Amino acid sequence: MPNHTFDRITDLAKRYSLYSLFKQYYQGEWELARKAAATIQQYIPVNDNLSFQQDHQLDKAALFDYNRLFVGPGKLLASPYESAYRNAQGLVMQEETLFVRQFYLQAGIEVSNKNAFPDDHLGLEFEFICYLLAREGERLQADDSSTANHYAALYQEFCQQHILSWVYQHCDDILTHGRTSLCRDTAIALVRFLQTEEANFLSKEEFV
Amino acid sequence: MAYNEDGYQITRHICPRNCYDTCGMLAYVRKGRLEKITGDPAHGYTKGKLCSKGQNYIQRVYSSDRIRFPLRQMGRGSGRWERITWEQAMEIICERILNLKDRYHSTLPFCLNKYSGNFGVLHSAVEGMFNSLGPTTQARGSPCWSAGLDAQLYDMGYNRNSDPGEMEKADIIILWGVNPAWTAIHSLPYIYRAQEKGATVIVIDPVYTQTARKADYFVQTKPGEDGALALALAKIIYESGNGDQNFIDHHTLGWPLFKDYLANLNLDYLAAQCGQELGRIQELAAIIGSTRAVFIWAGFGLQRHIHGGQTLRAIDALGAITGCIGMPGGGVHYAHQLTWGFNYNFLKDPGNRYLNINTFAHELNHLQEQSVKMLWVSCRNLLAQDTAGKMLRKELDKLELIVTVEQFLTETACYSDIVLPATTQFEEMDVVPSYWHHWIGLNEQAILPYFEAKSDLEIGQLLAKTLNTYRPGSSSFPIEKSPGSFLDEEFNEKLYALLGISHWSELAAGPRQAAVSTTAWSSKTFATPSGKFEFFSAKAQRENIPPLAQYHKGMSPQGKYPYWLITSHAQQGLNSQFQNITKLAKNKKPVVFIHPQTAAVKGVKTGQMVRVYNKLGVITLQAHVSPDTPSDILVCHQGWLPGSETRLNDLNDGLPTDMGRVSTGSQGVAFYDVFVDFDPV
Ligand code: SF4
Repeated sequence: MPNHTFDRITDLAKRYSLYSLFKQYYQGEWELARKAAATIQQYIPVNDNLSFQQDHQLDKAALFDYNRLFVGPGKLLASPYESAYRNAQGLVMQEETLFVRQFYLQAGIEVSNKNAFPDDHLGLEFEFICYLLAREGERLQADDSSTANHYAALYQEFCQQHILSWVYQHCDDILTHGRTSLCRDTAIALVRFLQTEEANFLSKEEFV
Repeated sequence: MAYNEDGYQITRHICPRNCYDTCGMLAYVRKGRLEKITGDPAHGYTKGKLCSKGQNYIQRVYSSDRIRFPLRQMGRGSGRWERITWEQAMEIICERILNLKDRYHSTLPFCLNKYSGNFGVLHSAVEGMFNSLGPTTQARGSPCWSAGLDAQLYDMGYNRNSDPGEMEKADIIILWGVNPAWTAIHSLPYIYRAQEKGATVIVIDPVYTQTARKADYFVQTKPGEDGALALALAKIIYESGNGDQNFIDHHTLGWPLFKDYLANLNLDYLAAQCGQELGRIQELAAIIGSTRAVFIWAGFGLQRHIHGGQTLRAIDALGAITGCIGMPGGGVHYAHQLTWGFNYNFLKDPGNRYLNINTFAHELNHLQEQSVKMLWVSCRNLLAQDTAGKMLRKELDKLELIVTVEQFLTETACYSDIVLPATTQFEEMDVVPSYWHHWIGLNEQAILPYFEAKSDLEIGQLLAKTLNTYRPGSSSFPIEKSPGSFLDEEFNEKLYALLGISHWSELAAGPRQAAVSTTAWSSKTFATPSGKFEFFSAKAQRENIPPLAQYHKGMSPQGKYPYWLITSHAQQGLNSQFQNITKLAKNKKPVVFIHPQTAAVKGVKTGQMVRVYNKLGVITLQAHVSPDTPSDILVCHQGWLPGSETRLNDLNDGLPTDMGRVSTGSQGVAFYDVFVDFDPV
């Protein structure tokens, strides 16, 4: 395997594991989300004096905060659904959701339970990205760089068409309404990570 | 069954809100997603049209504010919510139920408070689930229409009305304390067509409503004094020889006594009481007395006073004297129960203890035996709607567990330990009748439940199943039966015959109109013990209610609180529902309408915040200066705005109406006998 392929696989693995953590965080089995957030913050230190609290009280506070932001039962303060940002009326399960569904289908992926749970939940969008990155890695390892590049292009397209069009705003909302360091710092980590990804797209485009 | 057209799967629905119109709707679903909602043209009363609330149902179904999952709150009202699974929710509830049962050796500590959030027949499954546990405590009665229902029971023996289409045959339509331009828009075309054919439309209301604007005559009465006006009209019509002696002689009971009563009434006094010039009443009496086909539509508002039942009896008596009752295009119409003849298996009473829904907090507080420990709320937002809100909170604080089944985080849900997400009528199957028109229709399931939402029926079944797993035999609620099998058991031959079908599933082809007489009481045989219209009701007398329809002076503002506070229905809301839907919320803040002169006296302008208060409390509202409101009345439209701390009923003493026990189990609430003062903030 040539060196640059090896580097690309290593880089992919790192990005995959970060996306996978964000996916776990958003898919919100709370224990998983909490652990994911902790790991994310080790990968991407969000500030110098970040102190991730293991204390139980604060832990609960983070859980309640997480639910206020992403779960309910009241108005979601930082909705994790793409349509909530891109649909003029902020509804769920709208055309914007179907565009995401179409994108998944194009890659041969379908969300189970899709008409009860919107396809454009951030946890699912990250899961989709994990799928694309995993395929890219697999193909690279099999020395099939053209298919690998196809997955890489799909990833970039999905990111640019969907993730980058709303997730920054979503993170802003977390920073406006979030009360605990766990939720706020995870949002900062996500912004930093996406900014790096976005910069990579740009540099690739310049290179081309 | 659902059918397909232009790539859509189309299903039939009925709007299950507590609304006159009970509209037929069609849902258009593509790729599993509800894309549009229209009126169902097969519905003969609503004829394919919907009000703005109905048109905006998609906003409600796919609102990102809907409750998605079961959640548990760590500290009522704290906002510290933890998402739990349905299994966990059921475990918590069942453990509490069994623990209470073991501690108290009784099922009375479990209490249910449910009302009209969804009128679907299968929503009675909540009562069914409760009744399967043994005798429990249940709120009973109606905050809405009780006094008027009883009044008509005393006079005519049953709640029956004509098909609303009969209005087209009327010579005179009296819209008395009802505002169909806002609350029953599908009746407007009949009224307009009658008007085109030459009918005279008279609106009687304290407020210059949207309906009043379309009337030929508008009579602005004092709130709670409609009885004085009805009796004055009756007296003048009879004494001027315009009564229908034939009807009176052959179809009524107690006329000599009522005639004497009328003879002794003082017209000047009655006119003063209802705030009219006597000449004006005489003019109206001449119009009404000149014809027979007088269609009187008596609304719910006029009976929301301490003598509300007597008011409706007085209006009924006026109808009887004119002989309009039983005549095509005539009659006194309030609400009917003609198409509600289901078997109501869910409501079989195992010996429950009932609490008056209108004095719920007080009753909880005064229980002699076995206090309530756990409350289940469904189809209700009691914290926003009940009177005595402060006391209610105190009583709720004493409970060990509060469970609320809801679509949105209402005030009541906010104050619960567990919220369970509820489906809308597009996510469940049901059958819904109406209390105004005679159509019945089916709700088919159009889409999958939103996230983890479940119907009241499914929740009942899940709870019963979990309880029986913990302790076999705890609940007899059928856990495997499908919604369709429950419907099989709710229908009966009589109802099928009325609808001209042999199975409820035929309603999928379109709603059906019940084969009841389109003219109420056309046979002139009444359902009273005497078979006649009873001016004198021995049944009322047995209930300690005056046997004759009588005038009783109502309450009026005085002293420290010189204004009425009338809390009528909003155009874009139904009780506490709909105003949380952004597209429907006209006002971001609760508004009070104030007459220009009154506003000037207080130096208040539109948009300014005012404190409205009485001895019970203070609420803050945004002033809107409007000449539609009389100078001694403040009008606020009821509703629930998320995040708003304003509860109109905090100023309401919850005085009981005079009637209501017979039909609903308890008296109604005199919601409109509330007096206040106000100041700019
Ligand atoms: S709220 Fe009333 S008028 Fe509006 S759609 Fe429902 S039933 Fe029809």
